[in-house]
Order: sequence, then C-alpha cells, then structure tokens
Amino acid sequence: MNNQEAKLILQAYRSNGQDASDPFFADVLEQARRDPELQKWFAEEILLNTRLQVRLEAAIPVPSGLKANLLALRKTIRPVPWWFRPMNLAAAAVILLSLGIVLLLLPQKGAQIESFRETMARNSLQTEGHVVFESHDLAKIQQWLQDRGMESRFDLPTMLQSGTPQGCRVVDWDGHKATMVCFHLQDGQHMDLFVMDRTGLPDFPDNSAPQFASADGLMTTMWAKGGKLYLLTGQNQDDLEKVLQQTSTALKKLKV
Amino acid sequence: MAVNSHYEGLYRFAHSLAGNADDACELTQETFAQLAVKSGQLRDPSRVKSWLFTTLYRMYLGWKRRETSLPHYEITSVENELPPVTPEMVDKLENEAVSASLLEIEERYRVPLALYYFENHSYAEIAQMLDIPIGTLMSRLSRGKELMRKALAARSIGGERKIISINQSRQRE
Repeated sequence: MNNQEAKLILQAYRSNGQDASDPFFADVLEQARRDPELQKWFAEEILLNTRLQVRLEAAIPVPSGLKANLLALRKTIRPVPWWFRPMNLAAAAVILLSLGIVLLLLPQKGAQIESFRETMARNSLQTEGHVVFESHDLAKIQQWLQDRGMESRFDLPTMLQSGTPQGCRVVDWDGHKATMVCFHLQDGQHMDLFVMDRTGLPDFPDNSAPQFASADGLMTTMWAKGGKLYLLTGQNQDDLEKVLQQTSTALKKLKV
Repeated sequence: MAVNSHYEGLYRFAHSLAGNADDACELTQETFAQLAVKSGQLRDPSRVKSWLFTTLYRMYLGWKRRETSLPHYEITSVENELPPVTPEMVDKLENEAVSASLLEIEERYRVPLALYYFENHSYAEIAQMLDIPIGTLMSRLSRGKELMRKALAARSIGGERKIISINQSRQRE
C-alpha cells in the first residue's frame, strides 16, 4: 500500500484513540510506525483533527434550554405499546382473519364422517330407485358392480349372508363412489350395506371396531376392514349389534 | 439517559445539516420525540446512538424534499492557491468562521464529516447510517476534510473567496 492510500484510510481514524484496536487500521498504523514521513503526517492529522473537533463543538453552541425541553418532552410522550401500533394491529388482524379462513376451509374430521353417515342414511331411506340393479343373487350383484369398476369383493356379516339381497346401486358422496347392497333379513328387517374404498379418507376409522351413530332417523354402524369402509343402516342399534355379534361369533367358531 | 448522552452531538449534527439553530433544535426535538414513541422497539441500548443520528438525518432529508431546492455553494478555483491549515490557524479563527466553513461544504461531504467530528462515530457506523460502502465513505471523508481545510484557510488569510451557488453556476453555463 502506498502512502497516498494509507492516508486515505488514516483520515477515518478517530483522534481519541477509539480505533487503536480495530483490525481495519492495523496495517496502516504499522506502516505509519515504520515510515517517518507518514508518521509525521499522521501526527499532524491527529492534532489537527483534535483541534477541529474542539473548535467545531465550540462553534456550534448548544442552546441552554434544549436539554430541559427534551427532558420535558419525554414526560409528555408516552411510548405506544408494541401491540397498539397500527402496523402490529393490522398484522394481527390479518393473521386472525387468515386463521379463521383456514379453519373454515379445513375439512373437519367429525363433520366429514357425519356427512358420510347422513348421505348414506338418506340413500337408505330413498324408496324410489332404491336399487338400480335388482337381483336376489349376490354373485350377479357382485358381477354387476365389477362391470362398473365398483367394489364387489367385500366381507359380508354372517347374518347378511343368510339374508336375501334385493339389489344394488352406486351412490356418490363428496367425490367418492360407494356401493350400496340392499338386504331383507329372515326376520323381515331391511338393511343396507354401503362399501367404499378407504383410500384418501385419512380421517375415517381404520380399525374394525364398529362405531354406532344415528342419522336421519336411522341407526348406522361403521367399521373398516381390508382397506374398505363399511356402513350398515338399520332401524335400531340392537338389530345392528346382533348382526355384528353373529359375525363375530361365526368368525370365532371358524378360528377354533 | 439518551438525552444526557447524545443531545449535544445530535444538535450539532442537526446544525451542520440545517445551518441554523432553530431548525437544528426542531430536528433534535423531533428525533427525541420519535425515540420516546418508539423506545419499545429499540431493545438494544447500544444502538440508540446510531438510531438517533440515522433518524435525524432521514428526517432532514424528508424536510429537504418538501422544500424548494436549497442553494449549494462551492469553493472555486482559488482553493489551489490556499496555504495548508495548521492547528494554530484553527485556534485563531472565530467560532462563526469555523461553523461557516463546515456549512459551506457540499452536503455529501459535510454529512460524513459532521458525523465523524460530533459524537465520534466510527467509519463503520457512519457508512451504515448513510447506507454507503466503506470505500465511498473513506473518499467522502477525505474529500470533506480537504474542502473544510481549504475553507478554513481561505477565512484564515482573510482573502475574499469566490463563492457561487450551484444554481448561479448553472445559469452561467
């Protein structure tokens, strides 16, 4: 570094020595120590700076009442709490509004299951066009469903197996398609079984434990098995439990 | 606390910008008023000094934008004929001559110079406050010192300096 460049840097050095330990000046200070000419210039520069600083401060006297005014000013102005600043209030309002919208738009687990139950119950109660394909032969019903790309291989509760199928149709729910098979049991009861692929429905039950709930005046029970979701509609919970118990008992006997 | 520590340096800096006591007082008071309102935002007490000077400078720039263009003065070619300034020469000058020498320097050199002399800001602090690279600051500081010394020298020898406003200079061109 030549002396001209060193002088440019040294001119930013503060004359009160505050920059003595700043690495930024280390090289030029060392250069000034080695070079007598630069050293002399630097000493004069420091002296001149000091004088100028003193003279400038004296040349611009601070008004005597200014400090008192500033101290009085502090007492009259209250700091605005951080939460009361317009920007922060606006930001909080935007966050709350966004949160509300997100919560409204989020599919609610309970609401989704309830919607499924109610839709299926309404289909079960529908008298006109209750089934589209009429047959008492379960094999034919399964074939009809298979031809339409619908669930046709499902586990029937034992009591339904001993009942008489009346037919089937395909029902829509929230963009999903479910199979509905209508049964008349030996005691004259009417029950509808709905079967739907559980894929893409993470909020629905994923175990086989049946969950009972009423919907549109009907009792429903829902369970999952083998990646499929089952929903059975009937008049009351006792009847539905009976169907499921017999299934459970039959399975136990088979295992034995 | 902040008033006691910084009000004098801040006032002098304001004076070096505005060029008169009334505006300097107003700038200083407005800056401390903002500090009182926003004190909650300044969690780090070591940043108060930089915040005060930066805020005052921005406020001054805001004032300037609203006003009609202020006349700027330049030292003309006589500067090359001036003797070098010595500490003794500085001591002999009247206060008004010293403050006037600072005020007549073009603002881009005067602002870093005032920050350097008042409150002893470091080169890094000044560069940050003015949002300019350190290299640019070094050049402006060096040029500012040179211009001020020439202005002081001109007043010291009592010679009549030729001071023309930029507007006048442009009109002549």
